[in-house]
Amino acid sequence: MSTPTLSLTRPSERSRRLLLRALPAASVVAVITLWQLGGTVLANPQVLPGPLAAATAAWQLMQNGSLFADIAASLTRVIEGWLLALAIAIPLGGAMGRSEALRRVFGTLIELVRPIPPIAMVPIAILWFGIGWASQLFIVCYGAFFPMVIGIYDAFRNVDQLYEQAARSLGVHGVALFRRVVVMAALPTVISSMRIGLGLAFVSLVAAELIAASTGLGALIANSRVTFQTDQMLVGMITIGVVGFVLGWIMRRIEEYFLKWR
Amino acid sequence: MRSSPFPTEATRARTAAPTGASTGGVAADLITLDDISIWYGEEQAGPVLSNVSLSAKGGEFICLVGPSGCGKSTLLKAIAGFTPIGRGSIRVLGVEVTGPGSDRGMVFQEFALFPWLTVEENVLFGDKASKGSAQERRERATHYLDLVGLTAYRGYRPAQLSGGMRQRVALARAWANQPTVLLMDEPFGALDARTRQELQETLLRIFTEERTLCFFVTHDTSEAVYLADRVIVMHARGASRHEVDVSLPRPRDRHADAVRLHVKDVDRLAWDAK
Repeated sequence: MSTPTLSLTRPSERSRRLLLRALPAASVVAVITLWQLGGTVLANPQVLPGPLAAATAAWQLMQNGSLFADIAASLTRVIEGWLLALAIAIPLGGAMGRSEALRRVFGTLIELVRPIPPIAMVPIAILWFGIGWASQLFIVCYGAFFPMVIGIYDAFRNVDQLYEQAARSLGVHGVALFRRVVVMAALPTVISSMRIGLGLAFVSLVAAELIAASTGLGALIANSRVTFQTDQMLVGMITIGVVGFVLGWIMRRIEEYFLKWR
Repeated sequence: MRSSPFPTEATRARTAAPTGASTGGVAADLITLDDISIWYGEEQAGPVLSNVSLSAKGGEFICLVGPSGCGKSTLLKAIAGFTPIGRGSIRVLGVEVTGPGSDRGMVFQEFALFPWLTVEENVLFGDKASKGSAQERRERATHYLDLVGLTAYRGYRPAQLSGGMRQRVALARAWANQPTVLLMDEPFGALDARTRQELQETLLRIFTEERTLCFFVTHDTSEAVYLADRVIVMHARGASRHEVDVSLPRPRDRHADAVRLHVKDVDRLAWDAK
């Protein structure tokens, strides 16, 4: 401590903050350590391979490129299904938010279908669309659609009347009012609904791939189970966690960018 | 019901007709309210505003005061076009009001700035304010931000400003769109006493420069007397109205006897009279 610096936070306060910021990394390290201990104690790599075994399996899957192919396949399906869901949810949710009649036509229907989880739709999706791209697209789209349509509908319904009154008194009506005021006021909730929808698209995709797919992270898990390659199964699971984490992080940065005025 | 208010030396108070007869279309009137009544919901429940007639000329500053529920805000919202009129009509420059329009600017108690826009973008939001070249728009924004003393804050977002500053932006935004009449619904009601006085002075400075007809709703009688040429005291859903003319030169001294006498008069009409 040679240079005297004026600091508003006391040293104890600063170290407490540092400690708090280190906690997420520390908890991850702690779980990996426990996992290693558990693996060593159990000593049965078919039930619980240790982190080292999983890392080796991950390395092999990266070497032959199949892990990246699985990630790409899963991400492509997620994005496709999510975009399709968005293409329906934005106009429908927006229209419902602005029209009492449409709200009454679709509101109850949506609330009735919404509790059926994506996994319950898998058998009928296979019957309708066969095993493959179309079924997976349907399941992902289905999983992402409901939270998004409800969030977007809420966003448009709850636009502050005051903004609209202010705009009308400034001579801004109709399409211009919708574009310059209603859409802008609804945007924060619309974007967070999109983020939630993307997360659920990802979750539904894995459900779909577990049952009916040859590539993708869900398929990696399902196929590894059949061949008793538990280490690869863990790689699939962890990769899903990491990819989902990264997607969420990216969406939050996008959200911050668009909503910096808040 | 009061048969007559208290005429004093300081005021020429007069009682408006309780059941409003039409004031008739004088050519110089910018706005005429012709025997308007307004209902919310069932007609049997009685009107929230009954038989109000009123007219105002360019360059007037009119304050509407009265106890809660007297209908002063409803009257303002009807002029703004937010509340449908049950009976009678409102005309601005001879054109009947059927909904909101940029001839009637509005300043809200809650400011109602668009938080996603900068201060300058808010000021230039209106249909008339946004006309012209980039150069003209910039000059227009500078002019109105100068009037409210916020030129240095043109790039800020509303969330970065204090309540008083936000309401200054709202004043600039309303004026920049050149309304025929400016409607203000308790605009300073949410501000602390000191900020309120500063804003009153800013408002009068713009008014003196632009001479736009102003309707200002408040429950603060001293604010009304400080600002207005005419104070309209409303009671019982507008069925009873009194007017107090305040023909004192501006700027007014809040503590001068003449001002205090007017406030006393308005207070008596607002709180004692039924």
